[in-house]
Amino acid sequence: MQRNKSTILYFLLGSVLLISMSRCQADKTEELPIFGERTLNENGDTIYHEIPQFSFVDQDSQRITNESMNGKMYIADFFFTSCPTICPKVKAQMLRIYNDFQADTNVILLSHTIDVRHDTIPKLKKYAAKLGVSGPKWHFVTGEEAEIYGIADDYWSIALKNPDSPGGFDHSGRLLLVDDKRHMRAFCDGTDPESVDKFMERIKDLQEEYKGRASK
Amino acid sequence: MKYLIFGLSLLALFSYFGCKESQPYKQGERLYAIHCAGCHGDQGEGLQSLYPPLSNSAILRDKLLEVPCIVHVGLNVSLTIDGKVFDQPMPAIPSLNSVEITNIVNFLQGSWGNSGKTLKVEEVDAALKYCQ
Repeated sequence: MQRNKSTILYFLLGSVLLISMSRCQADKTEELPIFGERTLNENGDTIYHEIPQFSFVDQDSQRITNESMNGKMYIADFFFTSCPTICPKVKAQMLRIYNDFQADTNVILLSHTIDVRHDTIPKLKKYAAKLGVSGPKWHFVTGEEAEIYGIADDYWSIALKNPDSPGGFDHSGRLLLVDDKRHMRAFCDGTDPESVDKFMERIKDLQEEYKGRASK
Repeated sequence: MKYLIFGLSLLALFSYFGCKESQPYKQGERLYAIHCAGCHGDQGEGLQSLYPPLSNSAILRDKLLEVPCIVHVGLNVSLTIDGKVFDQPMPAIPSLNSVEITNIVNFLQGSWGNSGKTLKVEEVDAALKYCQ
């Protein structure tokens, strides 16, 4: 009898513990991680990886720099307009993000061409129009080839010329979410709609983080 | 009686899954996924005014014999479909042989509202002789 009582007691205690743990988990707002290499400065503070200074030109001949993203968040990818492989799939997913976050002017899309020779500003303009994109939300940018290829590394993306690849370039279809402090906060495989579904949840998390920050 | 019901249920199950596996152009389906779906979409839906859809396709309906050459040497002319102008060049896929092209075309013809009219390898071979 005594043994039965102890079993019931343990069971009740365990249940209470489990319920309180799960409640704590639900109440806690998960902050998105900051991706990339970390270093320590001389004071021992952690320095997070930052997207370096950039300066590109978009399909409307507007200069786009890090400062254009002040107070905003952006989704970056790399592509070229004549890409016969993964770009159309990635663009279809970027278009989903563009449509779903149309109302929030703080969510920006930034697509870098890796074929700067052929993807001129008029060509990027036409590509954007054919995709049904207008207005300042989605920037299709070009610039110095070395600067674009160099910054791709910072975005954990591959962008390089390869005559043996279809279309003449190798590149990854990764999408990156960058916050207004130049930190990468989420990424996904832009060719996989399910991966993009989860990524869109991360965009919403960052929207919440911005709202929380604004209300403080 | 029990055995009869069990047997009939098994038969029904086999026929159902048998029907599900009835896609006769498996190679065409696989090659479509590798070479075509990137632009034309997993369900032939295309993408906006950049890449034309291959569902309910007028080209597959009216100009079927031109399709083998479009696959083989690409396409660099403007197409208007449902009021949308498509002028993004389609790259050639010279690595595909006539059997593979036949299977892709026949897979398309049996999918997404297309007519179902198929091509024979001999017809594709003949068409490929006159590609421009």
